[in-house]
Amino acid sequence: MIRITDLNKSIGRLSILSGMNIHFRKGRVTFIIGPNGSGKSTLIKIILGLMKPDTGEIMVGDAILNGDSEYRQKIGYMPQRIQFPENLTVREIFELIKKLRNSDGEPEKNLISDFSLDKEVSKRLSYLSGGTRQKVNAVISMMFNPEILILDEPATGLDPVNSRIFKNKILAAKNEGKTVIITSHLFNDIEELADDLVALIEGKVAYQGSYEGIFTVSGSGDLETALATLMTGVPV
Amino acid sequence: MKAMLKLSEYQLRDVIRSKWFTFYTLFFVLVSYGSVTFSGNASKVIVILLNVYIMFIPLASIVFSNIYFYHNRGNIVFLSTQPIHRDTIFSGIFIGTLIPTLLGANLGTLLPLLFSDLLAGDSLWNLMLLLLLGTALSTIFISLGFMLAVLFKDRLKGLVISVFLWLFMSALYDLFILMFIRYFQDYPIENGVLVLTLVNPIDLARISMLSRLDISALMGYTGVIFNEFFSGSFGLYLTLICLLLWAFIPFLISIFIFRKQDLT
Repeated sequence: MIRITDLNKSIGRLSILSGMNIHFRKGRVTFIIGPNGSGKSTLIKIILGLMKPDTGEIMVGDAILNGDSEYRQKIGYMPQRIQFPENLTVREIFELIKKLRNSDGEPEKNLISDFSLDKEVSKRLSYLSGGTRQKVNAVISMMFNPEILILDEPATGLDPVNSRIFKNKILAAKNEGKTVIITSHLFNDIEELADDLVALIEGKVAYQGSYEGIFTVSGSGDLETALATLMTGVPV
Repeated sequence: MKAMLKLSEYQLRDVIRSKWFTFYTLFFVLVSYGSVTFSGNASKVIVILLNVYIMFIPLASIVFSNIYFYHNRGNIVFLSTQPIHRDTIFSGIFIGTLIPTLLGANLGTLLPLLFSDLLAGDSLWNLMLLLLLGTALSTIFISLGFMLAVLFKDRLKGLVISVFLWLFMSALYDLFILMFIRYFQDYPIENGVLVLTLVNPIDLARISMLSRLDISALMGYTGVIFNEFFSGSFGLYLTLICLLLWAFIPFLISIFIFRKQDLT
């Protein structure tokens, strides 16, 4: 669904991503993992068109990214933390996003109910807790039933009940054949949801393949040790 | 265009509900009411309002727009992940910030004046010109505030430069002109001073209004030349063109940079 070829990105003299070739497949949940500063956020931002690569090609479906914004119609994005205008109500935020996407009806209705946001929709954002904001965030990412879901640390701030609901929705999206890309540091989430892994170390792809495959490549029995082995190059 | 208007509509709602908007509107209500109550003379009211306009509107507009853009950066980044063009996002947020700022200043000024006898004859035209100049100054300084926020990712740097730019245009620039006049006093420098005035929107607004009030003699020995130039139709058109350029150039620079910028 998303194919990245020979991607390079530098900021000033610092190379952030180097010679990256990645394929995110349809109907799979792919986790992008790696230590801080490994280039996970930059990679996501380039896919979303927030940053421009120095060289390389990104294909979303059949379309090559060329600065056009239309391909984002296929994407639902959930950032780690979001700042909507504080004086708008939750309902107004949903209305705004729907209008910007030329969407009619109430695609958010079931999601509002699933995430128990019914009482919050008429409240201004400035009155909401971090966890409730994250639920609003989750609804926005999923309300248009996008072909591609990009989730940046999605479980941050969600309570166990809503985290469970969200994970079930991710699995349902995968079963519907959608492409799900997640960055996370939570090994429990990875173990539970991941079909594929992309491990980034210092801006390079250290591992790309199935979740199970990383253990074979690293010779480690658990994910944390496997990642540490890939980072250091020697068994930990 | 449609998406831009939708975005500006919600942005406008956000600003209008903010404490800043209430404070800004009330400030103009108080100043306008005070000037009518304590001066009792139409020209004096206009001069008082002009002094407040040329000092306060540029400062409030540049600082508010700058802070608002930085504060909204997370929202702007998120909007940039939606299927809409960045030009649309920038323009929508610009309009959504500009309209409430204009509403606050114009409504705040006009409300107390509705109950005075200022809204008649020449005074009415002078008041209209004052509001027009206030609108131009708001647009220019919001445009500059946004441009600095786009240019500098560090919000402290952006804010300091915004305040310095206001200080330069509202006070330091006059010192620069005085030095210019003093240094070249033996030469016919009236046209040079005129050109220097056209380069600063605050001076331009101040002199356009004072020329209209026919008290240009207070502006020194170049006052007569200013009066002749700015009270004529050529001077008026040139003033309007200069003010429009001051609003549009920073806006276009911002869009050009924002379109290509990495949003982190």
